[in-house]
Amino acid sequence: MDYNSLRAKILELAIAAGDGSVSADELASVNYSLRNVGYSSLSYMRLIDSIENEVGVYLDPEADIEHYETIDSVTALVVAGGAGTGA
Amino acid sequence: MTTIEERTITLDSARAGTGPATWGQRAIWGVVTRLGDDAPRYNLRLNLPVTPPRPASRVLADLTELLRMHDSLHTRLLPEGEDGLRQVVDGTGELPATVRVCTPVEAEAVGEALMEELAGRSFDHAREWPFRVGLVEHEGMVHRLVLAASHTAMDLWGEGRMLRDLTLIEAGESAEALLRARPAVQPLDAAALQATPQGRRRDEAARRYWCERLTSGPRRIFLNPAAPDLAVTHPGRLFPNALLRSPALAVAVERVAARLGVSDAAVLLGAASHQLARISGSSDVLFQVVVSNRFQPAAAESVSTMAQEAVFLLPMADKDFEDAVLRTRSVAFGAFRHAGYDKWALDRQVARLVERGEAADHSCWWNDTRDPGVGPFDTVERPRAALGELLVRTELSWPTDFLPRANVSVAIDVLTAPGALELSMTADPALLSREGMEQLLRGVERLVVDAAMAVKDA
Repeated sequence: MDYNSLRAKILELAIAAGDGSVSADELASVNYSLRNVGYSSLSYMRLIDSIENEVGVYLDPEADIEHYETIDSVTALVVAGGAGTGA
Repeated sequence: MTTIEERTITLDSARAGTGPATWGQRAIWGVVTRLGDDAPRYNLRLNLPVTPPRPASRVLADLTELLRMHDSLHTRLLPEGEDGLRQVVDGTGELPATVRVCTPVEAEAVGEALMEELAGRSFDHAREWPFRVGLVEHEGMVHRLVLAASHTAMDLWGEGRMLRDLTLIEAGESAEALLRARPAVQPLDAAALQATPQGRRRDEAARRYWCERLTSGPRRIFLNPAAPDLAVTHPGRLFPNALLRSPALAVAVERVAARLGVSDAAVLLGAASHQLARISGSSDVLFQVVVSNRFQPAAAESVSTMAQEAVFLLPMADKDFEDAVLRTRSVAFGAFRHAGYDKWALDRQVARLVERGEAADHSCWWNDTRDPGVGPFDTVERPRAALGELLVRTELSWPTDFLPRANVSVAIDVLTAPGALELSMTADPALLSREGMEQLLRGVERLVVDAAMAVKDA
């Protein structure tokens, strides 16, 4: 999967994990910042779960918080294979 | 005057099947089986008003539909060899409903007694379904519905879903329509997923995470126990239970969570960790945290037992409150992610670590029982008073004492009450005096309220 397709997939999973609390338009309006749309802890847990199930990459939930701030940083974390603690 | 009768719920052509038990079923079955005669204290108890009263035939039909909806209510658990446990979902069968007939005025008390009767007996999981039903009737109309369930059928989150589904069924919904609208994980499906290579990887990763934290955590948390002699002279000593009811905490925790960009659950767990570290003398603290394991929507809808314990290790928790809260967020993520595993296998690993003296003190427990869908100000008006004024409305009581429980030094539950948050704490008096317990609870409240007041002042 190329970077753009992967990013699109992560965006789709992030919206689904938000369980109706966040839309693609809302995310686009804040530069795809999950933090700025008030993404909840529960949504993050779902997103990490979904990425493992559907993309096959295990993300370290204890990775530094900045890795989970935006769709792009999450995508970068997935590209790096899930590493990221203390990076 | 009360008379006694019996009716029957007949289940026909419901889903049926057999397979290995889920991690959650194995964990709870292991606990209740070990408890023996004391097992009924784990049973779930409900004595529900039926308003307006409904004909008994309607109530039995509603319950039949509820059984058709959730496999766990008509599942038996059978031991299989040394390390096996099978779940058997029966597609047909009968469930007796015990009936008490009395006047409407007596109904609540009669329901209470019936609930204790039904829940006060152990379940024979190999032979009976983990669900008992009682009806309190007057002139053929049910005034109270009494339900008792084994914890192997559902955890507290599952109980909430079951009650919601029963209400919807009473309003005319069918099991099929409800499951179509909101699919719920059934234990046979959960067990099948746990048996896949991905499920096994998760189990192994979770147990590895547990053991790594246990080997790096503090060997003792209470470095200056309050009355160490008690442990020897009073092995059967009672553990006091304290209940802090705080309107101020309910208001303050939301403000602090918003300012720090974390959940209110992280604020409370971070505050408790910081305060435990300060009081116990151990800079690093370790809690066993009860996790619902209901992150995905279909899991959230499940009437089954999915909750398990996560290991939460927060080093240097005593340094700074805000730092403790911020680190709680990421540590809790990791801990919660590793809260699904085969408990029997983990118990064996932990026993080996304990034997070798390599296990951290894991006797502190944290259980945030709050339902995200239920807030303290759903039914009462949010107070307008300043936080400082709200503090004087805090109540501390000592509702009961408990018999000692294995590997429990401190157990704290978080509960939602109308207009307040409650912290219920039970502690071993050999480690922590009543004054120490009060200091811990009031300290948690004070930390959060002070931080919230700083937000307002900023």
